[in-house]
Amino acid sequence: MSSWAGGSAPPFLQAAAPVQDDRSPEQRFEAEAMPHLNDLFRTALRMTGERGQAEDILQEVYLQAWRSFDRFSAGTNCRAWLYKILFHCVSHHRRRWFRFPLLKEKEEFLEANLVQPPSVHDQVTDGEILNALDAIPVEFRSVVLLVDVEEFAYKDVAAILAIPIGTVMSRLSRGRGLLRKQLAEVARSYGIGKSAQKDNRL
Amino acid sequence: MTLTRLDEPSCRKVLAKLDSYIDNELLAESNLEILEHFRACPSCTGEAQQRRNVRTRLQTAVRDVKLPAGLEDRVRQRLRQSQPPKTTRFHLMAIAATLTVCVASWAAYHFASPRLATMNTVLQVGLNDHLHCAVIRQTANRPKLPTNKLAAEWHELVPVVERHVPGDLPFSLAHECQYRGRKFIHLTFRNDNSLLSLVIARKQDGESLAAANLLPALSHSGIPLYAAGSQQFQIAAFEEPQYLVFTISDLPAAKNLDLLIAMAPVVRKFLDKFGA
Repeated sequence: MSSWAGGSAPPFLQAAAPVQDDRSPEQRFEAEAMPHLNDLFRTALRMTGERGQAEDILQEVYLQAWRSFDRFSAGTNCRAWLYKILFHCVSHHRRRWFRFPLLKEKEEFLEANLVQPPSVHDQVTDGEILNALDAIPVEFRSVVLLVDVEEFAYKDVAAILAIPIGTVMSRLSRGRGLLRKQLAEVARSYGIGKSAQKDNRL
Repeated sequence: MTLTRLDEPSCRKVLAKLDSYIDNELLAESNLEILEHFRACPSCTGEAQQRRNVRTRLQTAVRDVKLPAGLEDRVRQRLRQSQPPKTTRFHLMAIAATLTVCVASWAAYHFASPRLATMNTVLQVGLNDHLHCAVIRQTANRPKLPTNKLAAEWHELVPVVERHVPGDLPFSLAHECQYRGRKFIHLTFRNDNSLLSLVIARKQDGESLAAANLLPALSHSGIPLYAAGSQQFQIAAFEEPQYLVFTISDLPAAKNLDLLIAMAPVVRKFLDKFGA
């Protein structure tokens, strides 16, 4: 049904050297997979926008991870492996139940970089930042989350989302540009970034 | 804000690499080029700082979300109920298992079936009938028979199901068949390239997909749907209190599952009559 657990493993899933491990699978799973629950939940929440769905997906991710734990090589990046399963589950659910308009990806993403918006003012709340993020189309949002929040290297993001590294870079640039635009809108609504006279009125 | 400054060719070049720069994904020499540019260009320096600032604010906002109370326990509980993964530590067992799979695969090929060794037995119920009835028997050149040989109470099922099958896969046969002592209601749709079966089997001896330790592929209108694939066929299934319902085909897995998604509510409604 899927390619995340079978076929040829991406480099970050391949074992560097066999690791001698006397722990039971339960103990290994507890030590290697369970600590990432919190990180996966916050990503699932941002990708679905709904706590119930995020919880369902998280349950599914851990169940699938547990069932194919024999295919995960000890000593490799368990967190990246779990994220790969997470994005597989997210896209599976999304394909089934939603029809999100996918933005056509443009190679010339420079335009997004040419307008310099005001920096994120302290007045902009965390909630508004999350709203701005949630407004970005999913394919850009996923890359921004993985790079900016979860701090994965580009090559790991490419493996997690099964896209070329060039696409990771263009989506990241575009996603960040869109986020900055959204935040600039919020800032403008506060009157930040307009003329200084406005501030003088206060 | 100094927009004009950003239009300069050197600035454009730096801005194109700025995201990779702040992620520390550039080669050392490219990093040096950018640092060199920053020294002469406060505008790009400011832009880099702003982007870092957005990243920091975003990290704080997203990471502030905490795991809902009890979710960790619920995940653990569900894992405990599930079968443990195959362990790779017992080499003898692994060799024995490999041998079993090899023998079973050989046997499966030998008897002109796809690999069944790893497929759940409840799902095999549907696949077996599909193989036995639609694949093996109907590929033989046989005289044309009336297409609908169902008992009268099942007649209405055909148009109800047919509505959800694409037009390029025309209805071929509906009948009641028997395989290994079990009766099946079997509808087939076929064209030159593809073959689709809708198989309905009455449950035997407490058979259940939910109890078979399978993971539903998804849940639609409150109906959990299960999916599996062998080398040649894709199976999707759901269950009713009395019945197991399958779509089996050589279509892509997603397409096969989509067909069952589309049919599940109407087939369920139809079967409810018999359950009452």
